Amino acid sequence: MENVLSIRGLTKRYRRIVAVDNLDLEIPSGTICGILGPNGSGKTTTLGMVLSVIHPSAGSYQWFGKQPDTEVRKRIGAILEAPLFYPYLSGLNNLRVVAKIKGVEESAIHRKLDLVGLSERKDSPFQTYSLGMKQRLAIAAAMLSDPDVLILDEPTNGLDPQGIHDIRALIKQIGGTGVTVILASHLLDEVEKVCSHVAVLKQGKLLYNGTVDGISGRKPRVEVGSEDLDALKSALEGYPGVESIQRSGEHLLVSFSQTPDNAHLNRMMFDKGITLNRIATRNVSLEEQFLEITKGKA
Amino acid sequence: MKRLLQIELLKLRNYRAFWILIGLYATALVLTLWFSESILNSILDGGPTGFMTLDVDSFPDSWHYLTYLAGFFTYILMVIVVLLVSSEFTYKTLRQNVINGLSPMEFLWAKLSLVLSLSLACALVVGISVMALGLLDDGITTAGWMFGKAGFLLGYFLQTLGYLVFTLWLTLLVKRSGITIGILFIYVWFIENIVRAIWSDKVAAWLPVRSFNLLVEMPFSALFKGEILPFASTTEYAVAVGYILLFFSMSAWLLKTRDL
Repeated sequence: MENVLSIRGLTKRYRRIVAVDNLDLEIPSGTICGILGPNGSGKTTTLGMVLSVIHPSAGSYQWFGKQPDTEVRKRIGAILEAPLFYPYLSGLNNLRVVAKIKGVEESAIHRKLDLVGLSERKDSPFQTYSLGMKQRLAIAAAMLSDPDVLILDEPTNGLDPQGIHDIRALIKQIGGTGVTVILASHLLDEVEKVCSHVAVLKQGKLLYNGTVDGISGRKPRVEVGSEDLDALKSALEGYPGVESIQRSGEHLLVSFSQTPDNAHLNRMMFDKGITLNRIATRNVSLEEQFLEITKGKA
Repeated sequence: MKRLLQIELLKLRNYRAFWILIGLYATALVLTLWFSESILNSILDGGPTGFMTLDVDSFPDSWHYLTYLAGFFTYILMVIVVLLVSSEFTYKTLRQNVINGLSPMEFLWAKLSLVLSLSLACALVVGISVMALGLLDDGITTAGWMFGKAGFLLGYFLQTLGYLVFTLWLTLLVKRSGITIGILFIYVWFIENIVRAIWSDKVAAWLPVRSFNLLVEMPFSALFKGEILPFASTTEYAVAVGYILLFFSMSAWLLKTRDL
C-alpha cells in the first residue's frame, strides 16, 4: 500500500522542551489513522509541521512521495485545534475564501454545505454558529477540494453527545469514500470507534504504530466462573493454550496464547465435574493497552 | 495578484467595522477637501494673518495644498490596516489560510495588494477632488497650468503607501491590534519628532515616517514667508521608496521564518 504521508526523524524543540522527538511515521493510503496521546504529547505540533505552519527543528516529511508545497496542501483538507474562520463572515462567504485559496469552483461549496447539513444556516455569520455547527463548517471547508487526505484535530472536543455522534458518523462516511483520514485525539474510545490504524504518542515520542486490532499483541482472554473457583482453577491449569489465570472478583480471567473454542472449554470442564456459570470472551480494551504502552516508556 | 486581491475582498465582504471606518474616512476626506478653503480662511481671519486670504483650490498649487491636507487622514487608514492584519492573528485565520494552501508569501502579497489598492483609491479621490475644485474655481485653463504641480499626487500616493506598508510590517511583528496602534502613534508623533528636535531635520530626513512626509511637505509656513516649495528631490523619493522596499522585505522575512 502506498503511503500518503512519510515522516522521517521529525523533531521540534522549543527552548527547553522537546515537543516532538525524532518521529518516524508512515500513514498508509485509504486508512482512518488515529494519532493518540494525552494532551501535550505533540499531536498538534506534529500536524502543524506536516501542514507547513510550524518549522521543524530537524527531520523531514513527504506527502504523496513529494516535497511539500502549496499545490500539495490543496490536496489536503485540515483542521488544526479548532475551526478557524472569519467570525463576521457568513458560513457561505467563509467557504468562498477557502474555495478561492484552493482554486475550487463555487458550485462545490453548496454540495459540501449539504454534506454537513448547514445549507439552511449558510448566510448566518460564523460567530452565531453553535460549536457543533462550527465543526461541521470546518469539515465542509476541509472537504471543499475533494481532498485525498482529511486531517482532523480533536474534532469532537467540547461537543454534546449528539454532536459527537454526528461528527463521528460524518468521519466514517468520509473515510468510507476512500479518503485517508488522520484523526488526532486524546480519546481512546474515539480512536477505537473510528480508526483502523493508530499511532500512539507520548511526550513527543512514538510508542506504537500499527492497526488498532493488532495493538501490541492483544492476547485473547476469557472470563469464567463457577461455584468452586479453586477447583476450576486447577482444572484449567491443564487446559491447552492457557498462559495465565488471574482472579477477578467472582470470576477467573484466563489468558490464552490464541483464541480458545469456548464450547470445547465448557465441555471439558463439565466432563471434570465443574459447571460453569459464566463464560465470556473479553477483549483487552484499547484503554488498558494504552496505559500498558505508555507506562514506563518515555 | 488578481486572485490574491479577490481573496482579500472576499474577506471584507461582510466585515462591518471595516466598511464603517472606510466610510468615515472617505466622508471626512472629501468634506475636508471640499471645504478646506472656507475652513482655513475662517481660522486665519481671527489669527495673526487676518488680512490674508488663502486660495487652496486654484491650480496649480492646489495639488500641493490638498494632497498635504489629505495626508492627515492617512492615520485612519493605518488603524484600518492594523485591524485587518491583526485579526488574521487573533482569529488564527492566517494559519488556516496557509493550511488551506496559501503560501506565507502569497498572504503577504495579498495584503500588499490591499494596501496598494487603498493607496490608489485615495490618490484617485484626491485627484478627482483637486480637478473638480480647480475647474470650479478657475474654469478651464491650459493643461500646463492645470497639471503643473500634479506631481504632488504621486508624492501623496507614495506617502500613503509608505505609511501603510510600515503599518503592515509593524502589525505582522506585534500581532496585537491595541499594542500595535499604541507603538505606531507613539513612534509617528513622538519618537521621530524628538529625534528632529534633538539632532536636526537633516538627520530626521533619513527616518521612515519623516521621509514619507517629505514627499508632500507642509506648504503653509513657506507660503507665509512668501517662498515657493519645490517638489521632493530625487534623493527624498529614493529614501521613501527604499523604506517601502525595506518594510516589505522585513515583513516577508517575518512570515517566512516564524511559526504561524
